[in-house]
Amino acid sequence: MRMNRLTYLFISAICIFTACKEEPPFINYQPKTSSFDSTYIDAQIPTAQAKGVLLEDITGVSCINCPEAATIAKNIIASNPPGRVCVVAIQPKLQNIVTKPTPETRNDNRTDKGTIIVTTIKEPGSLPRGYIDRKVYAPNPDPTVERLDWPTKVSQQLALTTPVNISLITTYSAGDASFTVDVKIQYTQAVTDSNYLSLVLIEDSVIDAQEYPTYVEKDYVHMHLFRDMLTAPLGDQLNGSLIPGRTFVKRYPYKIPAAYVAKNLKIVAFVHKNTSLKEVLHSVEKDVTE
Amino acid sequence: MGRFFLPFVSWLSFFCILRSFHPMRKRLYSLLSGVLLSFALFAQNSNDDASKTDKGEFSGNFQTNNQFYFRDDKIGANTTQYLHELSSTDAWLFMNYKFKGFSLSARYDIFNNTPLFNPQQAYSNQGIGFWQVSKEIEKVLTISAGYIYDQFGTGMVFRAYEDRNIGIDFAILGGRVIFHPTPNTTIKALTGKQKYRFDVREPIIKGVNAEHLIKINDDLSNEIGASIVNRTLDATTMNNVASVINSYPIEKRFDPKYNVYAYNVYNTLNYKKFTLYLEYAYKTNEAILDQSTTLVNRNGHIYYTSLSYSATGIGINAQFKRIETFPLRTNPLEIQPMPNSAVVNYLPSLTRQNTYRLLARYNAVVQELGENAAQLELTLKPNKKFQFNINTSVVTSLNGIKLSSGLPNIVWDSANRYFAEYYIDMNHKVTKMLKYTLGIQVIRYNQNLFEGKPLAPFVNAITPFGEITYKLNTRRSLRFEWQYMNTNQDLGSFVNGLLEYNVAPHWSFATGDLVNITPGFLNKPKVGEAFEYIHYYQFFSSYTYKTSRFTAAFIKQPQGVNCTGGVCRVEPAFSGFRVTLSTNF
Repeated sequence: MRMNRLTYLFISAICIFTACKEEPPFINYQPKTSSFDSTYIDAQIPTAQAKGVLLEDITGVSCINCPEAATIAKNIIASNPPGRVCVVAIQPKLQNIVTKPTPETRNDNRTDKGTIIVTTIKEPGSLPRGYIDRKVYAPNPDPTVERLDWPTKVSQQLALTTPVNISLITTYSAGDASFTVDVKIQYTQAVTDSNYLSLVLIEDSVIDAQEYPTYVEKDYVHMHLFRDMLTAPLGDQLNGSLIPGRTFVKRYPYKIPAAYVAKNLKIVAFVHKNTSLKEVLHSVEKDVTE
Repeated sequence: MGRFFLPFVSWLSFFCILRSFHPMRKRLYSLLSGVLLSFALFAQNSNDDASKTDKGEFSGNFQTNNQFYFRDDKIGANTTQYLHELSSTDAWLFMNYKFKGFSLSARYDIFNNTPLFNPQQAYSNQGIGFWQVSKEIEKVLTISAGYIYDQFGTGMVFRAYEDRNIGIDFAILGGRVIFHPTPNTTIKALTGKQKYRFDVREPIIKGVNAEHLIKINDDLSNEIGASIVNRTLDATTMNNVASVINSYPIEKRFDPKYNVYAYNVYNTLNYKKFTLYLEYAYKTNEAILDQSTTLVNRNGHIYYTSLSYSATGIGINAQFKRIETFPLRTNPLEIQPMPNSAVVNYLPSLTRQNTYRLLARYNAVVQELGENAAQLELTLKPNKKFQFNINTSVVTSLNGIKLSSGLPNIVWDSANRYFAEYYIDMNHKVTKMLKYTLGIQVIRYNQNLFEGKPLAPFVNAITPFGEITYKLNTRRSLRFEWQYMNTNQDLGSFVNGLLEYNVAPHWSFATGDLVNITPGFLNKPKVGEAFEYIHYYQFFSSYTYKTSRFTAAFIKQPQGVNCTGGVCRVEPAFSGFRVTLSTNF
C-alpha cells in the first residue's frame, strides 16, 4: 500500500513536470532581411539629430477606452514638431478579452510579431497602455504607461539627446508592389550597451470596427497600425564597437501584401537596447512611397 | 545559550529594518525582519515561562580571509588588487537557532575588494548572503523557506552548494519540502531561483528527488533513487538566447526551449564487502554553447558506475563515467567570467584529489561537453607499519575509447587525450616517534584544453615526493615534505620543500619554498638572457584555541588551476600576506 502511494506521488510529480507543449520564442527562418549590410567608422562625426520619441500604443478593437488613447497620441504628435514623436499602434494577441476581435471586425489586425514585442517588453494588465521609449518610469515597476501620463512622459523624453542618428531612404516600386529601405545609422557618442535596430511597418487610415463604451464604430479609422517588421521583432543587433563615428548602412527589401495600401504605409525605425533594459535611444519615421 | 538568542535576533531584526530602506531589497528584508522579530517575541514568551522548557540551541561560525597584496611582476602577481586596492577582505558570519523543531539560520557576508568571484576584478558588497527558516514536523516532514543547499544523489542533475574558497555559492532561494513516508524513504521537492551574489538569477529551478532503501538482510541491501529537475528560462534570458540564434546563418538556427528537464536514476547495491553503484542521467534538448561558444540544440547523457571492495588490509575502487553534452545552467549563455558560472548540477571528477602542493598543480577540470573518465584506486595495508596507495586515472574525449573485440581501448592521440595520472605512495610507521611517506606521480595534462592556452603543448610531468614526521615529544613534532616536479612544458620544473613545527595543541609554524628551477615552454627566457630561479616563498603560523584558529602567512604562489572536488578555476599568481580567522560557537 505504501509503495503504491509512493508510486502515485512520483508519477504525479512527473505529470506536473511535463505539463504541456511550450511555444518557442520567435526565431527568424526567413532569408536574411537586409540585402546590404556594411559598417565602418567615419572620421567626420556628424551633428546629433533631435531625439525622436517612440510611443507604442498597446491597443485592441474590443477595448472601449482605446479610441481615447488614440486621440491622446494624435494630440501629442500635433503638439510637437513634425517627426519628433513616432506612434505605433500594436494590436497583440493576448489573453485579455479586449484584444480579441468584435463580431463586426472585418480583418483581424493582430499580429504574432506585435504579440512577441508586447509579451517581451511587458504585457499590460489592462488596456489601453503604452510604452514611451520602452523605458521604466519610477515609481512604476514596469514600462507600461497609463494613457493620461503619455504627454508628460513624452515631453520628458523629448528633452533628452540621442547618441545615434538614423537616416532613412525608401524606394517604392509600384510595378511589383515592393519597396526597399536604406538605413544609415551613425553614432555621435559612445554607447556601452549592445544596440539593436528595429524597422516597423505601420499603416494609417485602416477602416475597421472599434468598440466604444456604448457602441461599436464599424468604420473606425485606425492610425499607425502595426503591420509587420522588416527586422526581427526584437531588432537586429548592431555588431561593432559603438563609438563616435561608427556607421552602419543596411538595406531592407519588402514585398507589400495585397491587403495593404502602399500610400498609407510608413516605416518607423528605432535603435534600442535589448538586454534587461529595452530603452529606445532614437526613432524616426518615413513614408514608404515618399 | 538561550540567553544570547534574544539580543541576537533583536540586533538582526534591527539590522533588517535598516536594510529594508534599500528599495530593491525592501520586501525581502521586511519579511525577514518580521520573521525574526516573531521568533524573538516567541522566545521571550518562552523565557517568561520561567525557563521551564527547552530554550533551544544557538550555534554558529565565523570565517574571515584577509589578503594584503605585494606586486610581483616576475610571477604575474599584478591584477587590480596589486595595482589599486592593495588589500581585500572576505568574511562570513553564520548563525543558527534551533527551537522545538524550528531552525532559523542567517549568514552575513562581507566582501571588500575581493578577487573571489572574478580574479581579474575587485568586488565589494555586504549583506545577508543566506537565511533560512525551517520546521521539522514529527520527523516525517521538514519544510524550509529561504536559501537552500541540497543535492539529488551525486548531484549530477541538481546540486545547490557553497564552496567559498573558489567563490561558488549556488544556493536556491525558494522553498523545500522533505517527506519521509517510511523510515527508509525520502522524498524531496524544491523550487526557487539560483543565488547570484546578493541577488538571484531569474530562471526558475524546480525538482523532485526520491530515495528508497531496501534492506534484505545484513549482507544485502539496495538503495534506489530517482530525480527530475526542471529549469525554466525567464523572458529576458530567452530574448537574449533568441537574439543570438537569430544572428546565426539560417541553417544553424533552431527553436530554443524555455524548459529543460534533467532526469536521473541511480542504484547502490551492497553485498557483503562489495558495493556497486550505477547511475544514468538524461537531459532534454536545450540551447547550449559548444566548444566554439556557438549555441546548439543538444540533449545530454551521463553514464556513471563504480565498484568497490573493502576488507581488512585492502580496498579497491574502480569508477567509470561518460558525459555527453551535459552542461546544465540557469542561463545557457552564462559562461563568463568563470566556466563554473550559474551551474545547476555538479559533475564529479574521477581523478585523485591531491594535497601536496606540486602534486595538486595539474587537475582535470570536468568537461561538461563530453569526456570519458576512469579511475582505479587500490589501498593495501599488509600490517600496522606499512600502507600502500596506488591510483591511476585517465580522461579522454568522447572518441577516446573504442571497442575492439568487445574490449575498450583508449585512443591516446593528440585529438583525444585529456588527462592521465599514475600515482603510488608508501607510508611507513617506523616507530611511534617517526613515520615517513615516499611516492611518485606521473601526469599527462592537456593544458590547452583545461586552461584555454592554445599554444601550450601537452604537459608530461613526473614528480617524486616524500614526507617525514618526527615527534620530538608528546606535544612537539617536526614535519618535512618535499616534491620535485620535472617537466619541459608549462612553466618548467619545480622543487618544493616545507618544514613544519607543531606545538600541540595551540601553535604551528611552517616555512617553505617552491622554486622554479628550469624554464618550460611558456616561460622560456629570451635569446641571450639567462633563466633566473623564481622563488615562491611561504612563511606560515597558526594559533588554535579550542574551536578557533588564527593564521598568518606570507605566501607567493604561481598561477594555476584551483580545484575543489573537480570544480576548478584558473587563478592568477598570488604574492602577499594572508591572515585568516575561523571559529565555531
